[in-house]
Amino acid sequence: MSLEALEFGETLGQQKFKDLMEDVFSQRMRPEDQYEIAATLESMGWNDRTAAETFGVEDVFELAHQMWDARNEMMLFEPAQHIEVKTLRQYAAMLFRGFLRGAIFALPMVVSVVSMLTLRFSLWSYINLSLENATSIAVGTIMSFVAVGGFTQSIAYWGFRFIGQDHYYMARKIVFYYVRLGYILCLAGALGFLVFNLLFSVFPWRMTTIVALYFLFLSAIWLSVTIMYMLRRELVFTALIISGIGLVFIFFKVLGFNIIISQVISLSITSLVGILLAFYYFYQAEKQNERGINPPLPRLSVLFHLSTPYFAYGLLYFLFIFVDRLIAWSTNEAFMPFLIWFRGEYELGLDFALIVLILPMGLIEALVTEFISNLEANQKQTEASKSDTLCKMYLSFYKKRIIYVALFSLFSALISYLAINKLTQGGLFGVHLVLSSATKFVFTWAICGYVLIAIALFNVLIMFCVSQPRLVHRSVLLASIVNIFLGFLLSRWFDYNWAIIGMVAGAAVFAVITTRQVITVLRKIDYYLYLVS
Amino acid sequence: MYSTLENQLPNILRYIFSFVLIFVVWAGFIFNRNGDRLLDRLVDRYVKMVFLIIILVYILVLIGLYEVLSIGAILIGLTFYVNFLHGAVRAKASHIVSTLPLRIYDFLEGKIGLRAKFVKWYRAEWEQACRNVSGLMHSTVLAGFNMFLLVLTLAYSAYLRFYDAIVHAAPALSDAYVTLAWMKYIEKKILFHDGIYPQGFHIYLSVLHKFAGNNGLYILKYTGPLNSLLTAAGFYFLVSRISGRRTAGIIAALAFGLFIPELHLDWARQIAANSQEFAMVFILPCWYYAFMYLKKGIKHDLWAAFACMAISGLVHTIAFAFSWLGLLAIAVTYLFTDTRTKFKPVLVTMLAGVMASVLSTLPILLGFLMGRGFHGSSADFLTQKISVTMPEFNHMDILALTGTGVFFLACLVVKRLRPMFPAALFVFFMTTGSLFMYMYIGVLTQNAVLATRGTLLWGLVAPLGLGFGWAAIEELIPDQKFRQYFGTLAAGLIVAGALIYFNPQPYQPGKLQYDSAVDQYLRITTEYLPTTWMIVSPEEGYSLSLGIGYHMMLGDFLDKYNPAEKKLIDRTGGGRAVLDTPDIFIFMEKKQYPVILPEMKPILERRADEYRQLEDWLNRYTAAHKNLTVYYEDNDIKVLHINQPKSKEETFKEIWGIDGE
Repeated sequence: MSLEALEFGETLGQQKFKDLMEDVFSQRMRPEDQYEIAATLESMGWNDRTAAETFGVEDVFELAHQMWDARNEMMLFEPAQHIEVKTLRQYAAMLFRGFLRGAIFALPMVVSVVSMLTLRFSLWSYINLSLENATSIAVGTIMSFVAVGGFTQSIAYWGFRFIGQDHYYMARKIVFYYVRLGYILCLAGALGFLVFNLLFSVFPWRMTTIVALYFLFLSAIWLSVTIMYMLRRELVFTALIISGIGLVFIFFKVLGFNIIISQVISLSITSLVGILLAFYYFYQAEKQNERGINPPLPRLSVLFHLSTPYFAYGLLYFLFIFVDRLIAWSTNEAFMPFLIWFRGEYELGLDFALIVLILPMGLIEALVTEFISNLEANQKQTEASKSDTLCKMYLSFYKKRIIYVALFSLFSALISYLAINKLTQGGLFGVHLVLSSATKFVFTWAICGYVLIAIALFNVLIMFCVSQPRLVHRSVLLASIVNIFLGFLLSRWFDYNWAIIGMVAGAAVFAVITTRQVITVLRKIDYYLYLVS
Repeated sequence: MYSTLENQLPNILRYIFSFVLIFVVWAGFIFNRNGDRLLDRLVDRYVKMVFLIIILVYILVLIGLYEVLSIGAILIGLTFYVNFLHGAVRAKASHIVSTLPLRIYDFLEGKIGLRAKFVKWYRAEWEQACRNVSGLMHSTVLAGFNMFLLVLTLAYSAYLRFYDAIVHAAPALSDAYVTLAWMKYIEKKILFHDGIYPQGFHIYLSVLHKFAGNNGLYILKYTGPLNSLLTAAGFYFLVSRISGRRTAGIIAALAFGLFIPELHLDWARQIAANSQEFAMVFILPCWYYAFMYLKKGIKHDLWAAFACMAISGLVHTIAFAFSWLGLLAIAVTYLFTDTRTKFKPVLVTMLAGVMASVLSTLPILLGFLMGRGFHGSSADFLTQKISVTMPEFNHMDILALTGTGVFFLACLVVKRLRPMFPAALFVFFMTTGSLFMYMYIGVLTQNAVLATRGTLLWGLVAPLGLGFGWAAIEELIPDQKFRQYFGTLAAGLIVAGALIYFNPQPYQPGKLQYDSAVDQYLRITTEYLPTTWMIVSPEEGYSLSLGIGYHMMLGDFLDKYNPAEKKLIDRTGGGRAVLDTPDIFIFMEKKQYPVILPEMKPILERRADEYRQLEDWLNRYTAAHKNLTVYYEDNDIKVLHINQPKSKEETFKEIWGIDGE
């Protein structure tokens, strides 16, 4: 809150009054009324005598009354939001921060990869797993992502919404409401999976148990990770993953436990610690910031109405990301022991291709931060008759940025492709990689797919900025349908690894539709911003 | 192991679940209601669903997309289409979809209490159930007793048929192994593997297998008896519905359920899973629906008759011919009794039959297009000559003929029974026609197919004569109340007499191997991961292990692998193929299973020789290796286990497709 209104023609007394107001409002940003201000003043040591001596008022209540009036007056005459004109340095710093944040998000993945390369295991994978266990873990992992995808989006939506208004109490309340719901759904999902397996006998029970355990614990970890991301504690969840790997090391290498048991114990501890840390950081954040209002949660119908599009997007997005694996792994070749059978060559191709996304995600985060930074202010500064100018400005901004994202993603893909090519052919820095033809095929197509996904994700975040998640989930739904349909046909008619082409086609649909949607929205950006407000 | 409760119960439950899911629940979602009574609806939906499944799987196998995911997706799609997107339901469905969010909001706002709704629904259902039970108890005690008699008859019929399937692990008859293999070929998207032969039954088995998710052997073992039981139930359905007398249906079902040898049929075929017996399930419903269509003109009945015709054509040629015979008899009956009004419906029915015939020949054409010839042994059987003598009449034959005569005369003479005259004429045509076939066609032609299948048609028609004859006797009693009491009590006495006096016992069909050998195969499938094991055994092991593990003929194994070498290496033809399957199980019969089929004699001699060679091979292998153990041994068989686990590097390469480290 600014106190600039008191600066014009102020006297010494006014200066003191202004300083005192700053002190009071630093302790209580949004007092409910003048009596709360009086209480704050008294808690700071002011009494009727000192108030009368310093400001010539009758008592503390009169002083509080004046402060309350002054505050209200300030709010009435506060000018429309200013556009923060950033210096080149500030602008670069903002972009860099955004980039770093986006890139840091991939840190746990990097940690896991490094762990796999050095220790041969990570928190939920092991290089020498049997095919049976690899299948179970892969299925459990995919189920966890799909099951909590909707919850993570809903949590992020509500969390950012309340935190953005400094209402940490409300944020915590609603976030943990969704976390609870997420746990309940995951438990129900695990139970449903067991019943489904009982009826259809998809996997033997030894596999089903592993699927259910990994599914539950990984889901718990993803939910706590979402909270940490929301509270900007990205490094903490990286540390959490590292600690989890450390635990696996202790149980597996030091104590000589079976790898599955080691991982299950470590996952359970990590998920528990994760959720405790999430609690702790929320309380910390509440303490450091304004505790905020304390009303009950919004009504269930309101929660449902506002969360559904985000939830649907989260669910469909993770479905889109993983469904090609399920299609590939369920392709029946010469012998198929179970309905789904893990194929490492396919997974390896996708894992290597994932490198493509790390840097573009950083850029996307930075560009979205740039997009959102002055959006509201620009709208308020623009006269209604000149709304076209605003639309054109943002359209032009978008066109440039989408080209940056596309070029940067292509560049990242090219570098990744060349690096893997070099590693597989002559070796690089003494490292030589041997990949099967299936892995190379999947990798080559997957990097194309991830470039398109990067473009789509940039569009999705812009749509989220202007609160248009409904459009987004339609696009990802269509993309998933294309992915499933084409991937299924190609994998059955040619080879299992042709499922990747379904993913690429789906990603193309995702990118094209979201681009068209963003352009449509930006052509009427004033209208959409009005809807948001 | 096989016959234990803990093994049978889950497998039976899975089978029931799979059957009910596809042919009751899903069929209920896809096909419209036809008939007011539950049994009518169940039969109608069952035949239509079987038809749909066979056509669907043929197409999916052809385009290389047959698997549980695709068939599930198509059935879900069809369910949505029929219930939400099709014709009149579209507007209703669109209303439901558009108001769904509002309903959800109302529910979340507490305006719709799910619990209250559930309690209300539950109460209504409970009250309805109470009304039904009380109605059953109060209005007709006789109806309840009739129901009891039917259940008792079918339960005992089930006991006779399922006994072997539940108690003995080895499949019945040699055909079972072929059926099992063909079912698995369908799952591997291969049509007509051993030549052109209608694959409808194998498709049916494979769909049940895909949804049940248990070992295919259980599907095979349970489906055979179920087919025969469904045929028995079909007698009740046809006779009781056409005659309007439940007791008559029970008598017909009793005849087929318990007195198989008296009908000149073979118990073994009622227990084993064969295409012919599966196709027979649909013959009676085909006749019934065609008859009802011509009687009432309801299109649902025509579709059901068409489905039954097509199924019998897609499953077994002889059964298809029987369906046609019945259809022609029905057509002639109606043309004879009411030419003016029934001419067009008869024409439509014939057209449906022709369409079904065209549909049934499509797979044959397809087989030719794929470059396949007819299945060898089936083709041979068609032209095989045997010595046939004139069959003798037994008591059942006389009773059936008498029944037919009584029914025909009663309908002709008694005015009250005149509306049933078309049925009487139909039964008369069928009885005389099938009796002629039974008595003379084999003798006249000396053809194996005609001689054996002539008997089959008579076996299928004789219970109809008994049932309808019984209905006529009941109907001849003028007092309605006395008629009902007499019918039920007399039927009760006959059922009791059949069970107590004749007391038929379960039949043990011929087998090709010991139960313990199949038991051990099942044990291997549960203890070892699919595709990680191989069975070395005679021919029977091939069908069993197909699609789950590997199989090698004992003779081939002995020829290919030198036991003294460090690894099992096939060097035939100058090549070098290491047998790296982690677990190899060698099945050895200590004393050969006594197979009585004469054509098996040279095979048994070859096997005896192979077992002798195996002894020597094992001695030499044991001298050179330490990884051979006895997996199982009893008085009849011995199973030896060679364990050669994969190295870490091999496993790594298998998973990731690259060399480890």
